[in-house]
Amino acid sequence: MFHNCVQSILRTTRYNYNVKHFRRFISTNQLNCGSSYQGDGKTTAHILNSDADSGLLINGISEVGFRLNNSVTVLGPMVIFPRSVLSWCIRDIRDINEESLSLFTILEPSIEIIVLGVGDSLENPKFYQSLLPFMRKHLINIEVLPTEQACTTFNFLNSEGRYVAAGLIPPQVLQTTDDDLLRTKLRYQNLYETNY
Amino acid sequence: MGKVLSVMFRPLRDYNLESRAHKVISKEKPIPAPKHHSDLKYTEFLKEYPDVDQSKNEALNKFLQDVYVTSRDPTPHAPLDSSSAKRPLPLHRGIVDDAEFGFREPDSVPYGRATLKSALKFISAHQTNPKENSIKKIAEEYKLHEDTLVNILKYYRVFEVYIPSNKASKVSFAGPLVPRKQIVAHEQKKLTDGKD
Repeated sequence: MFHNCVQSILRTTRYNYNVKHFRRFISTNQLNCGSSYQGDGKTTAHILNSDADSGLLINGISEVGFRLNNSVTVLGPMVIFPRSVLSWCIRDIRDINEESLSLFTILEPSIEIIVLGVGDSLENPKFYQSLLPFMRKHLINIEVLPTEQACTTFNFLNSEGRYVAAGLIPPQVLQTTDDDLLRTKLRYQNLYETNY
Repeated sequence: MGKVLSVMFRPLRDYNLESRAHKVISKEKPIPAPKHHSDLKYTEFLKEYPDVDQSKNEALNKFLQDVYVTSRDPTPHAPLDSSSAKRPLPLHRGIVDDAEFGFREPDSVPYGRATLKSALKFISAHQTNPKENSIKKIAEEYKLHEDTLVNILKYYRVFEVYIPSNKASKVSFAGPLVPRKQIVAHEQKKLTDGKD
């Protein structure tokens, strides 16, 4: 299993010449509604991900992994805690079961909420129901979301100072914007290359 | 019920009220209110012994005037039975530093559970030296069920940190490009290239 996982990570690394579009997250604590506007020059936006004391947050996501706010790139599925991160040796959503969630059952104090990012949008609507017996048995709260939403949910919950954990599987399809594309190119210093 | 009775008996109660009131008010000397039983005792005592000296004692009065009462806030100290209490009261009033893992580590951990700190410790220990830190040994040391521990060590791994050896070189992707030798090719689901 471990070999498979590492191998999948390494395979994707070799494969990555084509896949390099990191979707960026910018989370602000201002809701996009009329009441948050406080007049010219008075409105402020607070970017959670640039806070020094907000713990480990996810800045970007790609098909191969995640970028954290301490500018570390994580390859493959991961389990992220408020200030620590672990590799999660599973391939996709089908590997999420009682065994692969076993770490959460032994943690003391038990985690307030676990956000599961299951990759792309949930194909099997009964997946959550299949988790219910496990949740009831171990008194664990699990939130199942597509990975992109799971990342933002985790960021918000973690910056609120909650004892939250997230198990995230990189999605296979990402909707990237031109801005994401440009920033990815800037990061890898090949902005003026046509074939990157 | 009380209200009903009150309404029923009001005419009786109020009969001739005004003239009775005038009668009481028009008395030259009002009847004094009854004395408290302690005062009553004292007056009886004075009646019994009329030659008791009632003048002020200057010496005793001086003592009384010299009395000066000070007070200070008690320093907080743990209640005597705090060691046996399950949730002792907080004694520290200063600012609490951020915890290492983003939450407070419990003082004691029940059997079959582990803190995140110890979980990270035994996962990395097993990963670096699985023979020395065998599952049986870890299960004994951390008081965990062996079946759960097998699953945890199977599905959760510590990341290997990769830092580009030559930082001046053009970074294509932050990850090892050459896979390790012991990893064999294995048929696995492929990732889409994300371009479509």
